This record gives sequence, C-alpha cells and structure tokens, in this order.
Amino acid sequence: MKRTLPAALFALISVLSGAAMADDLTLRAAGSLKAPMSDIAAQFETLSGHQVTLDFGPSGLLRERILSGAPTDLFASANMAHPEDVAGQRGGTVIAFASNMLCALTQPEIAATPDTLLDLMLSPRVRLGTSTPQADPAGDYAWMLFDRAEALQAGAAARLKAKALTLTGGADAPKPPADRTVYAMVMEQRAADIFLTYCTNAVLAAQEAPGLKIVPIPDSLAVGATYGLLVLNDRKPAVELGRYIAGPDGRAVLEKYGFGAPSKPAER
Amino acid sequence: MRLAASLPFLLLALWLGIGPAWAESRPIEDSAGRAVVVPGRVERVFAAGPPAAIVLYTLAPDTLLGWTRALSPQEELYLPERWRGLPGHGRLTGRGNSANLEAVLALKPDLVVDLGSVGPTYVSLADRVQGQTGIPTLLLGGRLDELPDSYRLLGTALGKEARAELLAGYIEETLDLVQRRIATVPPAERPRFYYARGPRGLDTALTGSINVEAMDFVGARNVAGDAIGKGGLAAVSLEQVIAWNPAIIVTAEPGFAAQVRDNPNWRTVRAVRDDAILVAPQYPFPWVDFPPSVNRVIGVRWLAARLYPALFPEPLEPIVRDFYSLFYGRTLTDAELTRLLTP
Repeated sequence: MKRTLPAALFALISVLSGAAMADDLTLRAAGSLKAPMSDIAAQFETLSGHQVTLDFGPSGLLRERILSGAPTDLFASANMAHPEDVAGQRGGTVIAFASNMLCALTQPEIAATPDTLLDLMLSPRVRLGTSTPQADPAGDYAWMLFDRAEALQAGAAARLKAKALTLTGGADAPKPPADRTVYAMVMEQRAADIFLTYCTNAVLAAQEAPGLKIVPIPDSLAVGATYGLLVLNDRKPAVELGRYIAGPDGRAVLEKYGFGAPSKPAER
Repeated sequence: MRLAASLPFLLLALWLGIGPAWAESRPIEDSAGRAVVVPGRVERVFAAGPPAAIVLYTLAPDTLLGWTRALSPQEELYLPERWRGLPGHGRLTGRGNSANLEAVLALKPDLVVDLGSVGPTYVSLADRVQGQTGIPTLLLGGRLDELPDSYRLLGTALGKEARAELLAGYIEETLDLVQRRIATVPPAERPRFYYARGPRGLDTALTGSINVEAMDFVGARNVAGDAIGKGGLAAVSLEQVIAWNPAIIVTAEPGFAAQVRDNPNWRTVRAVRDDAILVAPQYPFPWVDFPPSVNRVIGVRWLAARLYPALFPEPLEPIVRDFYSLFYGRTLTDAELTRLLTP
C-alpha cells in the first residue's frame, strides 16, 4: 500500500496534467492532400501528444462547411482563394504552403529532359495526352501551359491544342480498376507518349508502372495550383500544427507525394 | 513489407537460374547475317567508328564509352550538357584506325558495334575483333535505307526496343516522304549539282560514293558523276567544273563557300553567279558526307527543301528542332537554329 500510493498519485497527476495539456485539433483539408496530411498529422500527434481530427473533401465544400460554423482549427485548401475567403470573415493570414504543379509523365523511349520537353511535345512523332479542360482543372492547367509555350515558340499553343489527346477527366474517359490510377493505365496502354498531369498523380503513376518517367516542367512553362493554409484560432497547438505543416518536416512529406515548393508562378 | 518478404525468393530464383529474360545471353543476327551472342545486359559499348558512335549516342547515350575522337567545344555545344566531355578512344575501322585491341579490352565493353559497309572487309574485321577480344561484335548496315533496321537490331541488343522503334520510324517516315515527293519530278528536271570538298573545293565525290549518299538520295544529278562515272572520291580541275556549269554547288566547307563568291574564276560557274551554294550545317555532326550516319537524315530533308522548294514548302526550322530533340536530346534556341542553318 505504501508503495502504490505515490504511484497512483503520480498516475493521477499525469492524467490530470495530460488532460490539461493535450488538445484536440480539427484540420480540414483538400482531398488531394489526403495521403500527405494523414502522414503529417500522425507525426505531429506522436511529437506533440495532441490529437488531430482530419476531414478531407473538395476545398469549396470545406469552405462552406467552415463558414457555416463547423468547428475548425486549420484549413488546408487546394487553392488560395477559398482560405482567403474564410480569412476575410474570420480573420487570420493565409500562407502558401505547397504547390501541385503539372509534370510530364513520359514513356521511357522519349528520353525527354526539361529542356527538350516542349520540342518533344510538339514533335509529330510524339502523342501528347492531357486531362479534359473545363471538366478537370488539370486539363485547364495543360491548356494554360500551352498558352505559355506561345511565348517561347510562335504557333506552339495552337499546335499543342490541336494535337492534345484528352484522355482523362472527361465524362467518357476510361475508369480504372479500383487499385489502379488512370494515369498509369493510359500510359501502359500506350495511349500517349507524354502525358501532362499533376506531379502528385505522376508520382503515383510512376510507382505503379515502373519505367514511366517523370519530367519536371521547366519554369518558363510551369503551371499549377498553389495550396493555401489558414490557422483559424490562436491556441498554441493550432499554431504549432500550422508551423509543422509549412515547416521542413511537413514540406518533406509533401515532397514525397509530389507536391512542390509553394512559390511557383502562374496560379490560376 | 511485401518487397522485403519477396526478396529472398527473388534471390533464390536468381540463384537457381530462373532469372528474368534480360539476364540471359541470346544470339542476334546482325546486318551481315553473322550470329552474334549478345549478353543479356549491355551497359558498355565500344563504337568501332564514328558512324556507330553517333547511332549509339542517339539510341542509348549512357552505354557509349566514348567517341572515336573527342568532340570539339563547338561540336559539343550542340549536345546537351549532360553528354559533353565524353573521351575519344580511337577507332577500329576506316582511315587511320587508331585504337588497338588492347585499348578496347581496357575499356571492358560488353559489346563492340560497327556501322557502315557490311562488305567482306568489314565482316572479316568484325570477326577478327570478336575472335581476338572475345567481345561480341555487331556489324550494322549504315546506308540511309538500312538505318531503320540497324536501329531495331541495336535496340534489341541493348534492350531499347521502344526507343529504337521511335527513331527508326522517324527515319522511315522522313525518307519515304522525300522519295514520294521527288518521284514526281522527271529526271531531266532534277537539279544538277557539284559537290565541293576540301578548302579549294576541287575534290569531289562521284555518284554512288558514300560521301554523296544524301545528294543521291534526293535524286540530284551529280555533274562529276555524269562526266567521270560512278565511284568514290575524285580530284578535279576548276576548268572541269566551269565546263560542267552546275546549277547548284553543295559543300560542307564554310571556308570554301566564303571565298568562292569573290573568286573571279569561280564566278563563271552558274551556281556561283546565282549564289546557289548550299553550305551544309556542321554541328554536332555534319549534315552531308562524313560521318555517314544518322546525321545525314536531317541532311536529306534539308537538301530536299533547298533543291525542291516548291515540293517541300514546310518551314525547315520546326523539322530541325524536332530532329535535334528526338535524336540528340538537345533543344535549339532560335539563335542557335539560325547559326546552324547559315554556317
């Protein structure tokens, strides 16, 4: 008895102090962030002892949910506009914490480099695949990239738009089996030699179909989305999680999944 | 986890010899009909001569042990940075063969490749190299119309079938397009040209010579060939050239082209009076003549456009860009393209 009393007391104090210190945070994040944010939240929980509740969904829907009063500590969106909207009403500053740029996913025999990519996309021997503009933002980004190419080579935009095969994102696009990504599938079927898609998709496709190559888009052509993060309350744990996501640890996880540094040009 | 679990089984499979297909040697029949046993994995290739080195570079630059002579800075400028600075290891074939078999062995190649004539001289050379070094030696046809199949053969040997098919398809399409369009021109209406070699322009190559294969391919009439006959290289006199009075002069010597316009003797030749002197672009490899390799494919397209402008109205610049990015992995800036096309 004598021995157990201090132990019980210690346990009680730990629980009490733990309850006082541990915090429950709610992070709402864009669906495309599911894989990296799950990893980042798990790491943060281990390090800090706080609990992070995750909610993934389309960024626009999350914005509505937050504005209609759903309790939220952090909002990570696939653009800057939605969190800026929320900040306009609730206060706070949106920081750009990641970007999802377009990458070129290529068949190995094309042997493309960032330097030769545009010439190869223009080559009559090379089939160029994209997602469908209007139906899918990745398709819109591809068309923006074509417009940027015009500044490098006169006539390039029209030639690229004329030859682009819109293979994914449209209503009649092929549906991959549950365990496959559509990008790896169309490339394995050799429907295209070069396919323009988000770098995050390209990373998944190249894991799925080894041999496919990922070629970064040169800065002169780069397009893509900038992801914005908004911390919605001043409590220390929420601020810490925000710092963790935007800091080197979060960045490393995001990079692993194909996200880029936040400050890239030409956000839509 | 799954990988870690399967690794012992993979190692066991390799140990038992149930390796993947690429790990096994297999016989390949080369362009001369020789059966050559090529290792399953080829990572180091020795190019016996300049034409083979160029084809290898375009197909699998990471396997190329070196050029037969190191490229000049001007030549290297037209290759991507990554592939500059490859050493020169001498050559086994052709004029002034400068590499001995010890030098070949020292580089530990998995394969030796020669590309060009597949006549008896070169068959016996390939047999000798293979016999004395024990390194499999492929002999591939280097004529323009043989290049597509040579690419495919080499692609099979190196496990680069898809890239070989891409490049072979380009060559076939280009040569086919040029032949189809030129076939509509009656022989009598085809341009008469003189091919000027050497600094004074008084060396030439006769019809059927490998040096003028690109010109022959576009159906141009070689004035020296018409007068002297078929064959190889020939030294001629200015009087002969004046008498032949060609409508076009083709040369790969910018120096000759620069001085010939101011030379009163040459000015009596129609091509000089009309300023119809076509100077072949030089970099990274000359577009006509030497080395007789895939570099001449863009030369054929260029000659076709220059000799038959009405039949080939497409601007040449995008075609050249395309060739350089597909084959050499090099994107040309506008300035580089202009400099290249006006040597």
